[in-house]
Amino acid sequence: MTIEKKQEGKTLTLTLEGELNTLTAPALEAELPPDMEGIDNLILDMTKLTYMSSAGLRVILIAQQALEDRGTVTARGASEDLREIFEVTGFDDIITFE
Amino acid sequence: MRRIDTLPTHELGGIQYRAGHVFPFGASLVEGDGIHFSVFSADATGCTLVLYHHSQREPFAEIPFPPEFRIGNVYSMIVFGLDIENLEYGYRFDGPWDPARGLWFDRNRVLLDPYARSVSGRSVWGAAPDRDNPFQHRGQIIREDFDWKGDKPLEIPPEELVIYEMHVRSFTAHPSSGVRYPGTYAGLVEKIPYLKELGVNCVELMPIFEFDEFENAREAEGHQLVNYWGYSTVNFFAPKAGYAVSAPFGMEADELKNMIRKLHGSGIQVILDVVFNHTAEGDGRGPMISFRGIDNRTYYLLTPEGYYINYSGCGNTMNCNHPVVRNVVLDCLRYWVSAYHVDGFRFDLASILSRGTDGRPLLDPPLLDSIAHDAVLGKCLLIAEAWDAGGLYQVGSFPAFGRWAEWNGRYRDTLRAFIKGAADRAPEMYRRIQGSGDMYGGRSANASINFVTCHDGFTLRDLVSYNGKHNELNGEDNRDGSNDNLSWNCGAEGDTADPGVLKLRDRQMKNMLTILLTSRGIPMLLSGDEFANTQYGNNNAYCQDNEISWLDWRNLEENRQLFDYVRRLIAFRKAHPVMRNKTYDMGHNGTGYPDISFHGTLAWQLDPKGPGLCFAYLYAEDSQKYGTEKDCFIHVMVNAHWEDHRFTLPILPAGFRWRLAFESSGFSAETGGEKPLRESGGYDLKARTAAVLLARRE
Repeated sequence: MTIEKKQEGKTLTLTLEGELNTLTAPALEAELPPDMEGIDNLILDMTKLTYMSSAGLRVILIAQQALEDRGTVTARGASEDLREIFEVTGFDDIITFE
Repeated sequence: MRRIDTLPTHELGGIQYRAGHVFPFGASLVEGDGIHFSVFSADATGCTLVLYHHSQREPFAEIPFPPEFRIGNVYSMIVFGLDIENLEYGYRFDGPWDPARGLWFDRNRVLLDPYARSVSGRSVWGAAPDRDNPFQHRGQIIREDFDWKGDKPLEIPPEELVIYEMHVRSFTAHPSSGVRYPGTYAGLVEKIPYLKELGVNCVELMPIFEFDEFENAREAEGHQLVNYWGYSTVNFFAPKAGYAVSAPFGMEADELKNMIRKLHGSGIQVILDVVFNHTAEGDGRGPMISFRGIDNRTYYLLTPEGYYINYSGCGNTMNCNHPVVRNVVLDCLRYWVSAYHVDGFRFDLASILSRGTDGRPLLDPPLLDSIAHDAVLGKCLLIAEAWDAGGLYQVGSFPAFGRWAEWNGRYRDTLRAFIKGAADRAPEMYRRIQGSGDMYGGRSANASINFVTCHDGFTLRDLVSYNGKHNELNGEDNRDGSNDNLSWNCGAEGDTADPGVLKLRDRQMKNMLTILLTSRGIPMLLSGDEFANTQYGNNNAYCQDNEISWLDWRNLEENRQLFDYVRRLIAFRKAHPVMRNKTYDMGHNGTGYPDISFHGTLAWQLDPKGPGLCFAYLYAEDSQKYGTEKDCFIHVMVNAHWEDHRFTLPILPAGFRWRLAFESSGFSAETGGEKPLRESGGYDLKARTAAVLLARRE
């Protein structure tokens, strides 16, 4: 997986390409500041993400919980298959789809 | 600070490991990138951990447990640096092959961990297995960090429950269900609004432990037959992956937990139908999946010659009161309550759980005692199917330890027989309606799970449409399934266009539902009966993964008035605590009337021991006693006779007036919409009809 990172003010955009699984999840985790300090909005561009495993979902969940009430996590361009995984496991409650 | 036990002590082929901590059994994540493996065998002489990459035929590593890794009869180790999302595991056991002594060790076999929390290999429902693959059901490791968002088991008082028995796949597999994820846990979530509308507050799920739908799969009359219901456990700790859309991603546990959290969020409890009486390994001709090759003499009841004792009717019998197996069962139940927030269990062929290690029934079975008094299970509903296939029948006498409830098979049989016209069953009918104090007097009416249909046998519609079973499509020449159905087709066998027959069937269904939902004890409905689901006369659809079993939701539109009747009956029950009293209270209350009283066609006149087909029961709901707004009276009249009868009504206190709430010939009222009666002294009840009257001060 490759990650492209862009920060504008308190909005962090990460563009993910490839597979987000146990092996690549730590790389995503590393791109996120500890406790999401200085970030109010996290946008994950999933247009080129082909697969997400349970480890990937958990990195996103933890980021969302670190944001608490001050911001949101947005998934942009997620394929139907990816959205399905969020939905059936209940993770869709915590992120916004665009 | 880093823990010392995160440092490997051994290495084999680049894989690092060290001795484990013995507990917990199974495979679990530990600090420092490690996985802790632990497995029990008393008779084995050695054990090897076998590791696979996902869906690979050949393992990438095999690690024999060094002797110093075994404590007592437990082999445990911690392995470091494994990618859990690309990992499947199993064990090889060393030991003698001597079936006559009950020893089935074969180190050529790789076996499933009895404590695996996830089972891979059969993740997609109905995907044909690769029979050449010697290791079919594979252990998998899952993260157990679901975010429950404050959820916990609901602990609804049992007397308030209306149970809905259902099959996860049958509920939404039919295209008419209109869900996005048919036949899955996620599909069930989409139907929660329906369950809420119906008003049930507890779903009882037919088996959802991992099972093999291809067990004994075969073709009959051009049909593919499978082990559809799943009363044949492969693993007790893993959810059925084939019921999860997300199983190919290894997330079936998350999907199931999400389903339970959402059901809880709608006020609906979840009970699991659990099968501890036998396993999918069958008898000596069955597959070697797990227990047989790990410690056969511990897990199964065997004859002195090593043959499997078959009290389950399914080939083998779990040795439930063996101290080790007892712990497996307890660990399993505790796990489902703590990790999945399950609210209770219904135990299939539970009488087997009361048999000792020699197969004989025990007076005080330690397993049932332990379950009843377990710390984690302390608030769970425990329901026994109190019989087994070995002839043990304990309905009314199941060793309850103050906790256990039972499927009241006598309630079912009495209601069926009486409604079709068995006058001699009337006295028993009265006792069943009162909560079966003659059976459960030492417990409470909460011990009586009342029902008229369940997955075993006819659906309600078929019960009034068929005199005999029609199981030809099961491929056993109609020999399988019960012959003793107490059913009546109302004048024509099966499908008919005769409006008289159809009307009578509709009334008979409603007659039974009216009594069921106004009886003391906990009512249980079979999923689909509320809209007259049919199995086309099949009374044993365990093998039918098709329209025979799948609920056809088009029937809901066709039978909307039946659905409304059931929905309103449930709401009526919820509104009237007097029907839910669990104490067998028969005395007079503050209304000046008895809590419950029985009547003939003449009020206050009934021979409680004599035969009859017409009777009524009157509940007097004392608002002080039951914490309701106003006193009220509920009068349920039943005419099971083939002629019309006039019922005189009990005289009410001044100012009270009878209104009609339900009549099985086609009337049901929303709460508050009950219809005033023209006269207060009597009621003309048509043949084979039931009616419910309600009186309040007006």
